[in-house]
Amino acid sequence: MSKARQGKSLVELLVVVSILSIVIGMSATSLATLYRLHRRYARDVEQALAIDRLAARLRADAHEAARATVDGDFVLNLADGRSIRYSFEPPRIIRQVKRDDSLLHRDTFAMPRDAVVAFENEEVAAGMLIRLSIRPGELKMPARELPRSATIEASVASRPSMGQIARQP
Amino acid sequence: MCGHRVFCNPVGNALRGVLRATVGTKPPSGATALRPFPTAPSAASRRVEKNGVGSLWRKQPFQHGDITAAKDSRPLPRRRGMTLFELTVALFILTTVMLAIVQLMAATATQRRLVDQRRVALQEVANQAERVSLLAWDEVAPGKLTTWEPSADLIKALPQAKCEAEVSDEPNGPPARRIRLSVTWTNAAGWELGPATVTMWRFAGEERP
Repeated sequence: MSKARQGKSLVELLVVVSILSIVIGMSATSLATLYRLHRRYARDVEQALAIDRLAARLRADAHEAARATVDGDFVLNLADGRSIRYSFEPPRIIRQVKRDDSLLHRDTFAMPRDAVVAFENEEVAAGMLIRLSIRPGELKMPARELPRSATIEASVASRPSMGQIARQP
Repeated sequence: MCGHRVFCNPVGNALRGVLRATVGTKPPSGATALRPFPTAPSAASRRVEKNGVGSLWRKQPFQHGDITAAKDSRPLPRRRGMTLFELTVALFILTTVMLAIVQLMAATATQRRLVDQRRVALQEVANQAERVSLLAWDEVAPGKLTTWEPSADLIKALPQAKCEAEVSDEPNGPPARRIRLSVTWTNAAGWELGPATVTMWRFAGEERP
């Protein structure tokens, strides 16, 4: 043999190109998956926070209310003359506090995209229970991609002595 | 084939023969293929030398079996390419990294599923607490309220969930009852998870303590 061989053979080039293709393919797939997971987790956390905030506010209002009516929206009448209306204007739920038709306060709660929101009430022996259901719309996507669904129930004019603590082990 | 790197290589000798036929240069008459040029090389041989092949002719005469005669004083050319061992190590590292990433993603998905399950369970006990708050005092006596009918959301998300209610009288202060609502569920491996718990108090006469 004379000297070190110069250049590269076609086989070596093919091997290198194949390995590079595999590595780049795996990297791209991993990055795309991570990006998709990040978007889904961020969306889930935002939705969960909005639903938690809505549940806390709705329950506090319902407990304080003297009367509740459901006319497509929730209308809670308080003893001090205020009225609180919960209405759904996609993609958000709006809470408006009024006194004598003058707006005192306004809150919005962002809901999942294409969500369907239903306001219902249920008469029970000792009072009224209002129920707010959030369901994903007719979306053709895998179950894990669907927006979060939730049901919030609140008792109207319930005992003000009720206290709650949630414990997470 | 003997162990000498340059001159005892049959492939190299054959290559030299082909080279001679191609460039039209031959060693001087009487000289062996292993003897250097006696005079200045022709243009063709200079071209060959420039390409690195003609350097063969500068080798010292070689006697078969004489190892010292075949020793090349120049440093070996730099190695190019990778050995099979290096390739194996690289593939091993690549596989390890990919396995670690896959395991990390699987663990993340598992944790997310657990969080979702816990959220559904907490939503269930919070809704049930609202229902319990509307029950009459007598209906929340100890031993009377032990469980409840799970909602459709809970059945759909956690089919094997167990709903438990525990009522106990508060020993001190005004007449009150401590109501503990909990949901436990199992994962695919059969391990019991949770519980998601809400504790509430009911006071007799619906008055603040």
